[in-house]
Amino acid sequence: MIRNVLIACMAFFVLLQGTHVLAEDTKMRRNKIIWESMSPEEKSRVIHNYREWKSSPPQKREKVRRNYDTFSDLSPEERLKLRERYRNYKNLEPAGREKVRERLNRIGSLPPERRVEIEQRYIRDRERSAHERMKRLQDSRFWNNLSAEEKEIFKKLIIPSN
Amino acid sequence: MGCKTIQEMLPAYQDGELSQSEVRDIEEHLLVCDACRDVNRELKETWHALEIWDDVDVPERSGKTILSRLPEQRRMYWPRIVLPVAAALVIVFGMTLKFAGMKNEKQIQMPIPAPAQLSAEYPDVDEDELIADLPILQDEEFYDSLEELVEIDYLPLVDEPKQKETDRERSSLDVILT
Repeated sequence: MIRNVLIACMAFFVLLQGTHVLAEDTKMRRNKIIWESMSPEEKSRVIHNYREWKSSPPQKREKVRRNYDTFSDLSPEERLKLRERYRNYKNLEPAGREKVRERLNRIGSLPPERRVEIEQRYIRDRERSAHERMKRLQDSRFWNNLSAEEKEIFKKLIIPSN
Repeated sequence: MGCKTIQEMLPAYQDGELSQSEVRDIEEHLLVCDACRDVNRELKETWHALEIWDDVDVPERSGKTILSRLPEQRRMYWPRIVLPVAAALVIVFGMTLKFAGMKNEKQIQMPIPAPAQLSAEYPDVDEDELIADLPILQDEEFYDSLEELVEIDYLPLVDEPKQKETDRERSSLDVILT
């Protein structure tokens, strides 16, 4: 019995390794095809980004990689929402972006346990419909403290599809 | 007929299943061959020993017990065969994948169509590294700001007191209980 369990464990490990190699291989192949099909302008933009990336501090690279992995694990709907939010954020006037940053600083200054609690509450809230979340947002103290202009910005950013 | 054929025919000879001519041939052979005679005698003694045993009826209860254990034995028997076979198949499949991956990895490490141009033009660019991180490099700004983009959702929650959440949970619990 123990021998069978050991064989099964070994087999599982080998299978896992094989799957990982195959996934990496598929990723590399896909990236290579994308790279080869890029226009010279796009390639030079990527090379420019590559140089900046290489010269950036390891912490930043680490953060970007972590964010990339987080994004890859999201559901298609959530990815779409974040992409849309990013576009809205990018299209903001510098003053509008600064306002968002100021508000975001509040989160950065929160004690870790409070941050964890908010994260957990956010995960629970994610299951709610957009309509419910919007209502909750409009009932919140955060919303009441926003100017009309800010309300427009955050409405687009918090629920992009609205 | 040689000794080997004769000895093979002896059980049938003792059971009376042979033709008259075969019986005659065997009996003539046994008169002149000591070895075959011994074999014939031993065979006869064995049959005799078996005949003197009485047939014993198996008690009904024992029979039922044996039969009731049969499916269990069968159930225990199958995993013994199926598990190692399945494990072996998985190992073979895993090894195939791994070797296929290694082969492809080697292929990927081979230069892509115009590598010389790229490395000549951009000697500081490691093309394999660039290809591995391509999605990040294409969209670095997006991934750099991803954390903040997610955190925007936290903003309405920051001002909500912890107590309020507990109250909500309690009130929904009350609703369930009533």
